[in-house]
Amino acid sequence: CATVPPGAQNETDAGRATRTVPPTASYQGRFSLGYVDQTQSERHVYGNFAWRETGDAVRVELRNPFGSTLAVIDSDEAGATLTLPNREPQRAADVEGLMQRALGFALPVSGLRYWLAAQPAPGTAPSGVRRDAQGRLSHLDQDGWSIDYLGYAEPTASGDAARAGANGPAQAAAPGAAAVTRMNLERDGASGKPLDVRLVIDPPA
Amino acid sequence: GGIEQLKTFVAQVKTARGDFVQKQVKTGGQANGQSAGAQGGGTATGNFVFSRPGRFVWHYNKPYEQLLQADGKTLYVYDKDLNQVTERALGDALGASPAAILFGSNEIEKSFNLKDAGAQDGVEKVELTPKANDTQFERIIIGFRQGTLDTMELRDVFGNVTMLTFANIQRNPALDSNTFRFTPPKGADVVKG
Repeated sequence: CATVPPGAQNETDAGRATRTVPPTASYQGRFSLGYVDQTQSERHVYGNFAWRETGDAVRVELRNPFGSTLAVIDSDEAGATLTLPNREPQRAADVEGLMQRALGFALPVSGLRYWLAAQPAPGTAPSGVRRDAQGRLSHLDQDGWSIDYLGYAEPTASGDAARAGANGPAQAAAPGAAAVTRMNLERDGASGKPLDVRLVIDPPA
Repeated sequence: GGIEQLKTFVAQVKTARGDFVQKQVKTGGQANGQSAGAQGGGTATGNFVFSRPGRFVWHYNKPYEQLLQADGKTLYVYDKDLNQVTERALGDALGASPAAILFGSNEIEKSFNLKDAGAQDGVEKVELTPKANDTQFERIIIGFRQGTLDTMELRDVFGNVTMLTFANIQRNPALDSNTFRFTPPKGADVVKG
């Protein structure tokens, strides 16, 4: 399947592919998020984020530009914990429900693990998959989210991204795969509270 | 000592401008010890200008363009990459944050307890602990060198420590009236925070 553009082979069996969770992955950058609160008024939150995955555990820290932490969210298969400054940690089975209750908005943490690595999440079949000339994801609809990839970091000098593509279909999560630098996620109102998320991700150091 | 220098600074310095370097010195409770800096890789640089009370421009230019500007009434946060301005009433947006100390009204002792924190190679330090207990910051230490702002160390309640180092500070420069007037960059979305 040498002629198949990198990653295309993943689409066909995305549902069945048992995706190896990237052992550790970390992203940091800035987020802007618009949502409708209980009083139906539109609200926006802006800040810095630090995202770190270690095996199945994900830690997301939301911070203000001066570097102080607004919320720390931890999630793994056992459940989720959310800690606000000077408050006792709150626990729940699912991270999104916990965020919604504690912050008034919820990030699709389970999907983002894969979407941040520019690949569809396993489990539900993605639709509307479009790729750019280099085979990198440019659009994806999944789990009620419409996701646009607006920027990728240039492959590092050693051409990691290119090397990953050379030995067969790129494992998009493999280190050195194209690193997303700008993406927007929109959830249409139908499947829950309308929400739009803009992320700018610092290129890997 | 530090307290006296802080009081003098707050009383005498009505306007100022200068440069800053912001470093994420210690990040508390990291899942795997990796420091995830608030700014790319933990170091950001920029410049600022302020006029007490409540008017300031705090402009990060490296590693990316981010602008916080207050005109006394509204706080604007512009992010160039996201092409968006978030607008919110200044009011308590500053709270017990470093901005409140540098640019807010000068009743610092209303929201902070002050304690002299000694002197080290020419820098006299004062420790500020917020009186309210629901603030994000656990402690702020400001350093003065010959009466001029030198450093500010911010420890938040999660143990993250951010260090601000100041340089090229001009005290009480004359500022023209629209220094703090904010006009959104062309094409940027403006949203309510």
